[in-house]
Amino acid sequence: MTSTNSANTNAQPTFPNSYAEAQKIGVFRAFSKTPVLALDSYINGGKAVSTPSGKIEIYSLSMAQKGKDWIFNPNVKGDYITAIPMYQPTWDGYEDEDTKDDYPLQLAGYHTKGRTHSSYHNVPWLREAAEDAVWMNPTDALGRGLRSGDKVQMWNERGTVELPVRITPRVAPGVVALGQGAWYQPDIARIGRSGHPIDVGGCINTLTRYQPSPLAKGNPQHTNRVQIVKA
Amino acid sequence: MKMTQQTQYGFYFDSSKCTGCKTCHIACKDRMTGLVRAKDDVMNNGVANLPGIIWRRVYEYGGGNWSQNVDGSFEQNVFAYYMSIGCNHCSEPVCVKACPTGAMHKRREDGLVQVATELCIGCESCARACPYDAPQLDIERKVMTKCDGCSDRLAEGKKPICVDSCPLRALDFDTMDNLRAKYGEGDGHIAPLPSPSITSPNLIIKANRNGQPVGGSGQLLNPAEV
Repeated sequence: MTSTNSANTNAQPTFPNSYAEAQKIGVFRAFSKTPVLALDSYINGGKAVSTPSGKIEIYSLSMAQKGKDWIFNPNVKGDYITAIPMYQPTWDGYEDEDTKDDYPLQLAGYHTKGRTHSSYHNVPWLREAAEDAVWMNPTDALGRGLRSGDKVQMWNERGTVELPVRITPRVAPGVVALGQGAWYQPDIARIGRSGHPIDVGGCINTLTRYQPSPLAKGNPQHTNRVQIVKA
Repeated sequence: MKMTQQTQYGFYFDSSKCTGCKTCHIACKDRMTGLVRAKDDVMNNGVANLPGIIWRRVYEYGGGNWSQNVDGSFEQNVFAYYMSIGCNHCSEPVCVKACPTGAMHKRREDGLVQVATELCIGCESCARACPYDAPQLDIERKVMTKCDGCSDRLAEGKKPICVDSCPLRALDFDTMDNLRAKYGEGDGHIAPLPSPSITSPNLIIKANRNGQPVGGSGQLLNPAEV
């Protein structure tokens, strides 16, 4: 039981004894009496933080070590780690000359409120409540003759997706945005401009390169250059 | 005909708090299960999709422009905010006036506007009349449905499910007398709401800081979601 678990002994507010009691209480509210200070033990308590120097590092020794020891691909633009925070031009980035002519739009992924990553994509109520459309600035839409709700095809050399477009000033010119996590659904009867079956599910991974990011080795869903036309 | 009404319920909505998360929209839809599909075997078949029946809608309203400087950088004055709207249980309900059968009615005891489903012929006159899009057609049963003010929950001393579900506490519901005592008259209605002079809605609005006047220069940004 949660209330008898020793890890919850000092929990505030105290844990209920049963599910029935939790239901009766309803929403739990707790207000901190004092402001919480980040790194309080370091700032006021004199304790070391978990860096090699024990201090807050602007030049990170551990990042410098990783940048030196890890193996990077010199043919992948931006595949390196630096000891100080800096802007790293990358493949499929804003300055990438190799892709900017064929794929003039930068595509960023974001967390849509209609899912948790890919979980709950199958819930019809959520699909109705949060439209899975690619966001585009009115400036970019004008040149392509697009209106909100139009079905578009978006592609790069890795794949093609087909989905509605939402024209909105909430995204910058030259940039389009698509909520990540939609389920891949290839229409094998139709081959897109990329030479792949058209993904009518609108999954951003269809357009994303299989190239782990330099430090986190994450899926680079925010690093895609694409072109968009009316479907 | 002037009705002698004891009480008038209404909503309060704080657009400065709303993040557009749509928990109210989904919680409302969740309550419909067993209500508009009373005989559904939810345990074995899951819940009905109830396509297009959205009693509480969250409107995303925005505007502003981008302009490019000579050095290639951009300037912008973009804004956006959300409006969560169900039914305002109006004092001059145009849906009631438009209904040819008397199915759409305003309750004397609490001012809630509800549909007597057995009288409804699904002609959609109420939906065409309502400037808030509150009446929502159930295409499977071919009858109109709408926000019923959670009158079953009110009878249990609870607030409507949208109010209780809101993680930002942006919604409230009570008698208009109590709401006015708590919030005053609010900031007046803002876009994309229509002018309150059409139906005398029972809805007090606290405006978002970007709130635009009714008929403002922005636009509805999520037409597919409402």
